[in-house]
Amino acid sequence: MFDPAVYATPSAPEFAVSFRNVWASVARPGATWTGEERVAIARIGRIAREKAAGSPESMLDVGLPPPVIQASAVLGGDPGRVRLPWVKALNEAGLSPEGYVEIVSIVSRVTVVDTFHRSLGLPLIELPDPESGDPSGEVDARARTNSRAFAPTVGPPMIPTALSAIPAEMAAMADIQDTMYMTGDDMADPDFQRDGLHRTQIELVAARTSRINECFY
Amino acid sequence: MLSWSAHKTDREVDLAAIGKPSLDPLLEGGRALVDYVASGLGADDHLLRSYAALTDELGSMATTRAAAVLAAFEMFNRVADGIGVPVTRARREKSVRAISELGLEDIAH
Repeated sequence: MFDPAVYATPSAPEFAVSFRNVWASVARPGATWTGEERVAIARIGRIAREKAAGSPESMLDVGLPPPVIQASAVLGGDPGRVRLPWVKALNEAGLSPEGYVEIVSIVSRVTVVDTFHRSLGLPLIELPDPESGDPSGEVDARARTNSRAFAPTVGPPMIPTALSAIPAEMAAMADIQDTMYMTGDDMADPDFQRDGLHRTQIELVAARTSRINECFY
Repeated sequence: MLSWSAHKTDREVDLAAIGKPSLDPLLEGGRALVDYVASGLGADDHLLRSYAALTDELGSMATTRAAAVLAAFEMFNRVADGIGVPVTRARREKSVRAISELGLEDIAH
């Protein structure tokens, strides 16, 4: 799984390691969801995003509560629709704020791997088999919901802190960010180059992606 | 970050091309990069053509890196949308030119 040979670039081993890490982390129990639930969340997000085989009816058959299915599907297929009242309604329907943060993380990180493969004309990789075990419950008790954000964070809600309510998810996002975009140290270098792309070209790709997604970031 | 890195490295860039692909971003391979992003995100069905054009212009290694960056921003955008990371006043003030050129005035996160 995730054979570096297919990526044909000096960064291929890094990609393969990061993708394996994503798959392994999705399969393991998280802070609030079991491994089985996490893989089901990833599957719903993928179906919604790819608008591929699968339907809302098939999503109802995965044994997850409706608010979890709804959150996974919208975050996967149409994240620009997310608004505060919608998230509050999910919370009132029984989806905890931390559970919601974990769904954001799972769906977003599987999206990285899938988008990369699709953009290179490669087939999507089968989602992992879940591992058994109970959720860890490891959340950061300092997390609070800022009045302008939809979910709790430790400190002001920014991209680096967005998943900070669950330390393991925040660390997992940082890992894939370093591989796919750049490290914190690289960010300070306007002349940074990676795999033949200059920093300005990297930022052009980033800006165009965000523009198409109608996202400020 | 684009305008900052372009300014710091003395490269000319037309930010308006980010929102209007008919314009030339003025960076090497810029048009091909802009086209490839749309295809990679499924916004059009020209992936093979866009991939080939970018590979011809910048090489397969750079094309793979472009795929990595657009995939990363699919993640960041989802996280920002999902958590509701707000665009602060300070951030808006710092990005006045980009906001205006990209037509982002109404985007809250």
